[in-house]
Amino acid sequence: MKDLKSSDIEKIKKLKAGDHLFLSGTIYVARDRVLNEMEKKKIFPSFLKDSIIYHAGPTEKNEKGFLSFGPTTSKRMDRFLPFLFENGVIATIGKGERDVDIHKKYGKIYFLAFGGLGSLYGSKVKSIEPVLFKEFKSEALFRIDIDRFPLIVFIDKSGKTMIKQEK
Amino acid sequence: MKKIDKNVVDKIVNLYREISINPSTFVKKEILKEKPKSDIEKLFIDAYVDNNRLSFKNRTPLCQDTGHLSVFIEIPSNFCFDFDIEDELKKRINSETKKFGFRYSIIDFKGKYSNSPSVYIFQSKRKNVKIVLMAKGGGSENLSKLFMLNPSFSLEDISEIVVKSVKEAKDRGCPPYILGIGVGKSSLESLFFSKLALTGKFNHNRKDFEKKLSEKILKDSLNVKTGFGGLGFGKTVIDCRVIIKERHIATLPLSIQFNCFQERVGVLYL
Repeated sequence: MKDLKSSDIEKIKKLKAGDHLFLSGTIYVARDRVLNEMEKKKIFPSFLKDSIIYHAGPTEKNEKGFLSFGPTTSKRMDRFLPFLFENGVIATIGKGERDVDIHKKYGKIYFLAFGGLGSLYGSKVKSIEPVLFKEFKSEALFRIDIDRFPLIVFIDKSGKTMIKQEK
Repeated sequence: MKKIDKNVVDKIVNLYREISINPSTFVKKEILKEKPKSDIEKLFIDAYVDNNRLSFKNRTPLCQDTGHLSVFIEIPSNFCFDFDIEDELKKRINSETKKFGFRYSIIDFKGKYSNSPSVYIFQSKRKNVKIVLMAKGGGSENLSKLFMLNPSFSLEDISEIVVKSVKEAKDRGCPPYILGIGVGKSSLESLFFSKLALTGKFNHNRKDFEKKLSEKILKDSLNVKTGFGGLGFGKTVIDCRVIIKERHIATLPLSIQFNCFQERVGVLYL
């Protein structure tokens, strides 16, 4: 298992489909509503350039201060990929298969996080801060610091996938 | 006439929390049966086990999608509610969502978030009140299907359509899946019975043809190689629960519902 930081951009770009790793560092969280709003209003904050976007929506923190924060289905967000990639996002994280051709076209990476395991991913989120569209609650754009997220490279920059995709 | 006490609201809300934190014993057994052969398979199984441990330790929901809660209530004819159960539940669940560390996953068209359940009450010949809860996330819910088939279709044809739907679902709803199949009545009821079947708490697979269809689907779906977490290992479908009802002579409604591997179902009796 490799350990990588989100700032290791060149190393991330070289990852191959099927590689598995622990990712740490700062990443951003965006899902359906906020991406729709950003695209519609042509808002793309400069801090998202060279960033990794995690498709997810956290729970509230419970009375013990813990939260659950696993990935959501990426497929729904495929329509926003050209917008993200053209603005410099280097990779996305989510659950489930997604459009391979777009990744191949832009030479970008898609990381698979395991769905349904919110407590595990939540325990690895060290800080969380809504940075845009805070009124969207769990669907806001968040900046998070993560410590060793278990991930698999599902699609690499050449468009290779870890599992043969049936169309 | 016996009135149902308002304490039932506490019982339902507490059960909702428990089913969201404790993994389904049936699913756990099915997942841990599988022996991982590669590093990635081991990573998935270890992550699943670790998630169960962390949910228990931190009291966090197994999945951040704490779902849309459906509450099915079977009441004998001599019982009644003298308060608005759906309204009371809505208030309590919304006020506890923060404390429980759940998510406000429900949104209205004005963009307001909440965590509102749906409640269904129906009469039964039972002697006591039976309440079944099912919390279901958006990923698996998006895989739901309704087909209005030709009445000449056989059980084999139905199985073929179900297995095709499982294949097309790929890994979008967190496999391994549990299927709920509703056949018969009208389009509305077939969907409703498929949801009841999915809970596993309403006499599914009792009739010979229900059992036969379930077995056929389970057998045929072994050829779908999506597997655990879409990683191509383990069964894609671990259970198939079928309810078949009578139908109009010109129709054959078939509804398919998927549950993810974080099956969150609970039952209580009053």
